[in-house]
Amino acid sequence: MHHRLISKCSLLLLLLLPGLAAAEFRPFTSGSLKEITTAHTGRPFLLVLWSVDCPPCLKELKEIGQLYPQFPPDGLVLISTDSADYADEVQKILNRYGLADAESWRFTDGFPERMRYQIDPNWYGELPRTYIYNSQHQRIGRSGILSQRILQQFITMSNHIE
Amino acid sequence: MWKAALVSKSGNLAKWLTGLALLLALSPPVQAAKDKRASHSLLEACQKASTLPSPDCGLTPTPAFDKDGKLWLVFVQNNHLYLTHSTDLGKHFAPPVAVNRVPEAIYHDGENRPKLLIGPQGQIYISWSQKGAARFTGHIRFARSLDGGRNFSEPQTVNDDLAPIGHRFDSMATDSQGRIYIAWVDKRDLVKAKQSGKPYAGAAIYYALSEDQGKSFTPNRKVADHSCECCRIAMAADSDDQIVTLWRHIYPVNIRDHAIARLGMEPPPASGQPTRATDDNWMVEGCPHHGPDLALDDNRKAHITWFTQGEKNRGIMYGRFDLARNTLETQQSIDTSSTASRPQIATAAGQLFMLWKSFNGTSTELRMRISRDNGNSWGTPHTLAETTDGSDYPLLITHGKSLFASWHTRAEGYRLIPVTTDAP
Repeated sequence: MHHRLISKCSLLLLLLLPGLAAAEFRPFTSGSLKEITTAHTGRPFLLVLWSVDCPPCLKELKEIGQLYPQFPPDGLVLISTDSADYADEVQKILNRYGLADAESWRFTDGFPERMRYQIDPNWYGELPRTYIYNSQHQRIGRSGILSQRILQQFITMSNHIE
Repeated sequence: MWKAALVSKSGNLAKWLTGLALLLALSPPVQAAKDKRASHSLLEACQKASTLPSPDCGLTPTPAFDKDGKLWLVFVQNNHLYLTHSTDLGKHFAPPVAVNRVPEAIYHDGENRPKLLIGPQGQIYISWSQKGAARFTGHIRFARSLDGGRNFSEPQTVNDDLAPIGHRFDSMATDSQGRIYIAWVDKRDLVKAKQSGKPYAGAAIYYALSEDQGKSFTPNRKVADHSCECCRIAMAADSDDQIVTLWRHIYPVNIRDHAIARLGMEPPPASGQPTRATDDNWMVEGCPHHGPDLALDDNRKAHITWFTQGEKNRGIMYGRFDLARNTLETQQSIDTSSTASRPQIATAAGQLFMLWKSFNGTSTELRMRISRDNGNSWGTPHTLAETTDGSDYPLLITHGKSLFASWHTRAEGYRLIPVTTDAP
């Protein structure tokens, strides 16, 4: 009986696994930014764009990963600008920096210009690129690695709101 | 300014938010681009596993003309490089021939694409960056055909440091004597520095040359430490058989402007002394992924184009570098809009042509500006072609006085677009 229950559970797990894996990334396409801001209504968050082919991005993700436990709930949204070819690498990097359970999106459209334009018509596409949203969703865009100081500041201010 | 907004208001939440609202130049309302797409039939056809290699379905197709005006094209598909040719300016292509018999992972992004050169006797030279198992790693590879593209030599690795580290972003040029120069971005010095616990910014520029039509290459030579890690290198042979080489450099501290050097047969320091070519003061600890381009004229001037977001200039720039005096003698902004990217430059029929990509919210356009006075002034931009889906970098290619734009787009496939040299 007990044995059967275990195998039933394993079966259930097996059935669930593909679903879990698929849920790790959301495809970032037309309308996705609106979806993100709607889901985060009234809350500050950090929107971080990065790529596996960008060494400074990894440096930044490492720092963000270290501070992630102090982030407000739903305070971090990651968007990888990498194509589907790099899905495994994207996942590995997020796992390594303790960001596997952060909200993660990936460019899947094959037309990165359109995705970039949607995020910010004034962004040249350089990485890493971060937008700091306050609770009213006014935002600041910033290129290059965010300093520890800024990250700490974001955490302090955001948790204050909570 | 934004930093001050965050830091100085740390004590007061309300002030912080107000400060944020006041101090920030808020972006215009973000609107989703209209989903106006071209037919997906080509896309769908190309996604089938059984798809045969073709310039339409292959990635990063890169062209070269031979002296008879035959168009040669190399592209990447399914871990192979393929070579094909066309005798009717790209309307029809011959069945592609595989360059590497054994499949290998090949970089095929815009900054890191295969290179193709045709030698004076029709020799076909191809270089590429092989993708290593780990991120940012690879080897510089080379193969040649001496029988008009029917057979290729076994690919050889040009970098003599064989550690599984970064040797990528190959670029290739030949001089009038048929010597082949290959330069690339190399991380061996970065690795060495890391091992001894020393800081090292960026990567290095290395090169090797071949005097036997690509049968063998010299030991590798370092041109400069501290190049940017992820930008294509521009190369062209000068009239004195020096190879003018332009790359994005890292000047202290993290200023990603450009350096120029002339590579020669003699290893550095006898040749290849770098000079700062651009001074925008673009300080960024980030990855521009945006290399320069250059074209030489007969008066020892290098016409260069680059992308920057420096303090002094932003967007796409043009500059004329005097190789005799080793100085940038003029520069001009070409397009400051944020979606302008990937500039190319060419000389044809005594004029200068600049080509780049620009996204207008719906489609990506190829934009062009022409100078009839050696780069002193540039005509108004016009659109050469457009697409409503993803696209490769555009390239400019000349044959005699004729000029063409070469562009691969997901929806339309490969296009060779004639450029009218008397265009407005």
